[in-house]
Amino acid sequence: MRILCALLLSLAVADGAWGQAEVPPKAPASVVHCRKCHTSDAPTKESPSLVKCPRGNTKGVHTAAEAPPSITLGQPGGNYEPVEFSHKAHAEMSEMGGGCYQCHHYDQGGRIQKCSECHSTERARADVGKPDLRGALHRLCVDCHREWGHTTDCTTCHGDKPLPQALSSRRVVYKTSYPEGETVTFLHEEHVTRFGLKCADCHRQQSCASCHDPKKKGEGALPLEDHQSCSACHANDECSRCHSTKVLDTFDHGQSTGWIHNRFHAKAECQRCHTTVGRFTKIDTDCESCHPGWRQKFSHEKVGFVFDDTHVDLECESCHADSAFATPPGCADCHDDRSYPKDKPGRPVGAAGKK
Amino acid sequence: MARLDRREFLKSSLVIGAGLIGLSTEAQAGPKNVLSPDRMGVLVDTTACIGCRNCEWACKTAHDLPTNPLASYQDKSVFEKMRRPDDKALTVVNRYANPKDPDAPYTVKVQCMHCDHPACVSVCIVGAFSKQENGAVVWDTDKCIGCRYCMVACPFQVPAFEYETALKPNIVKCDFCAARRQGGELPACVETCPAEALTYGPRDELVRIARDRTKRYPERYVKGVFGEYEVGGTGWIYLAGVDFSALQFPKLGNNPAPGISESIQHGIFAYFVPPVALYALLGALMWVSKDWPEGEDEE
Repeated sequence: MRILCALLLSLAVADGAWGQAEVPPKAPASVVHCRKCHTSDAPTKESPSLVKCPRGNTKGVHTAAEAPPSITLGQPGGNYEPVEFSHKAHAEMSEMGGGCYQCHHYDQGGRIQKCSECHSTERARADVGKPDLRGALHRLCVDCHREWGHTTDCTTCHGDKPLPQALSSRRVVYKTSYPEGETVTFLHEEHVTRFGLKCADCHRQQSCASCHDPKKKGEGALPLEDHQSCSACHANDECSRCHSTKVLDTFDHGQSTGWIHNRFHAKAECQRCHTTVGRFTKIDTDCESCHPGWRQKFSHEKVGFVFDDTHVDLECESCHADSAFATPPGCADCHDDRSYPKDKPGRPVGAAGKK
Repeated sequence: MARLDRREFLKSSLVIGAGLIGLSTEAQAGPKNVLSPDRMGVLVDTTACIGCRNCEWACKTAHDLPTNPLASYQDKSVFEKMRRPDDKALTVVNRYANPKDPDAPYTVKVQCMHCDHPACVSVCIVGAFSKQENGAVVWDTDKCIGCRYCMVACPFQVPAFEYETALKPNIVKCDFCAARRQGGELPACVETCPAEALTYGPRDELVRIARDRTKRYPERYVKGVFGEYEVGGTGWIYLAGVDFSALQFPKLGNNPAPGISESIQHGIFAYFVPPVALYALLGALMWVSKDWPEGEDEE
């Protein structure tokens, strides 16, 4: 009898193994051993013999980068239109909180399970112990959205309302106990837009409400208890780089570095010129350092001005002294009675010519 | 000898007393209604309800009651005053403050509780009300004479009276979508609830699920399942995040509502007591007021 039982059991286990072989190749059966979660070799749906959930140990298996950009929730033709769920954006935001596991709550590492693998798509069903798919999704979404949005209006998600934006500060002013400069101005907007910092680079373990709830404005600001958040980039800087006696204004490239960003340069991404990874270092202001051989290729017409025959063969420095191309050129070096822009050594073209 | 007699007497009186107590408790257990072990119910999880009021719309639509379009139910101003189910709306959702989070108030759906031992069934003098095997407490409009005893008897004050036509009485209340369910459909409110705050299933199974949830999420739920024992058990049972009294649930005992009234009624009418007593009383009166011959008195 015992032998028969063992045979049956081994058959059942083998059957289970066959079943698992059908799982897509992305998740080989070896990734998670049955014994990781089950205390028995033949768990059933009725008695799964689960060990205490080891969820905490398996965090970090997946990243937001793997998330699909967007998924459609719901079916057309119902009382409400389906919702286009920005999965990747939510996954990136979740990196500031509980990660993928905030929603994918029963994943044990390995392959991320679809919600519908556990939550039935049928409301009329035998096992009503856990909510169906529609119920589970609504509870997940509404639990967070009502917390910071203070509403459970259906149109928050169903409809064409613009996506909620984080209440991001332009700058954060900290008061410290450093005697020679107690004010630290953190230029938040600059760090995000210019230096490309991701929210999760600094913000950890924060709730949705701390950035989205208008009633909790400012709660998302990080405490400046230590230098850790800044030192990754500012490790070699002088204290006075951040500590000042007054509140600093937004970063001005011309004021801080002496290199004014005008016209074409104003539109350039920082990384176009500052190619060093991590923090931006001072670079040579000679045009050649970024535009090698520019003199040969350059056509003055591009800046909206064509020279007349008298001036066309002149060297650049003849008018733009000291390669200061950003400042208006002078005429006084050669002419006593001429001045720019009253007198021009040619004619303006393009947008400049139409004025 | 005398001692033994006393003991015998005590023994026998004990037996009689116990028998009497047994009789009376049996009488208080309410009507011996045929409660099917598979009767269906609904578990209302008030912590999952988002107050969208789609159930109100679905109910009216399913029962051919006049209703505004679904989009109008987004209007939350109706929550400013407490509402009761009536002849225009068989179910309503009310809002209550959440002491734990003022920004996330609780919303509670109200409708007929479909009691296991319904007072309305017991009290209906023409037998228009009945508790069905599928758990629904329904009524027959054709039998109804409009006495409104059911309205008085209901511990939840659910049955409403439609006054529009004086000669055609019409009691209205949630019928647990009896017609829809016979056709294999879910109750309209359960089907439409986006968060599945309404779970439809066998009542006993729902009680088990509800108890399990309160154990697993003690920070989310208060202990107890309203309707598990109240008035002998109800078909619709509730889970809550605050004390049920804060959600205006009535404080009711665990005895079936019809128990007391029925035990009185049944007790009085048992063994032809009222007619016998009546005739005895009349007989006594006749005997007392009999015109006795005067001569006997003089004697």
